[in-house]
Amino acid sequence: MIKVRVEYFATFKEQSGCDFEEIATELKSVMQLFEFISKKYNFSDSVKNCKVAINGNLVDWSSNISKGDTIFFFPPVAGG
Amino acid sequence: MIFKIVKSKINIVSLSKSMQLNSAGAYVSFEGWIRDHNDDKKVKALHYESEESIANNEGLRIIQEASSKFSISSAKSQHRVGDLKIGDCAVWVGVTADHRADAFKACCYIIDELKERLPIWKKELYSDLSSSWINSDNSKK
Repeated sequence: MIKVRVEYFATFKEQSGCDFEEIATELKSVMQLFEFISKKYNFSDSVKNCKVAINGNLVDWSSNISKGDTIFFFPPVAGG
Repeated sequence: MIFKIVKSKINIVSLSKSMQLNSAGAYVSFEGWIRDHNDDKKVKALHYESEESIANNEGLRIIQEASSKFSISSAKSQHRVGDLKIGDCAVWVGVTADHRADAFKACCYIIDELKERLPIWKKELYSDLSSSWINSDNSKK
């Protein structure tokens, strides 16, 4: 079991009801973690429309998580 | 080559002046404004949110890509976040080049990529007091 910090933005922030949270997990990849959290909060967007970052860097959904990581889940973006 | 997320008004006059270059024959700029409607809804204001660190890094990467893809002299861009009102400038892009064709193409490339790739989100606030997060899928070019 490892602990990670997960931060939410825009729709994910509203749907989770928090800016961030500490999560203790045995899941291995960011994809698995996203799917677990998405189910918990009933997120409106799926992996294919979203992006993920670990410790400030955009990464692939297959990336593994490690103890102490800060993970950002980004819903579909809309700058401009 | 500079990209910056800003939390206050974009100083377009100052940015335009900073682009002046004796070797450039063309200067193209783009300003994205807050308009008062979206489809049939009357927009009152917009709220922009970003993850600033990644947005700044990705924005700079896009400008560097434009510089390698097109023959340009310089490029800069700023994107504003926070609460914006109708008529405010939300995003500014400026490009200089020897000739106009590359300046136009690079400016277009930069704004298209910024909209697709930066971790920025906007929420429209409507006159009827409802609100909605806008996705890039449903925001028109």
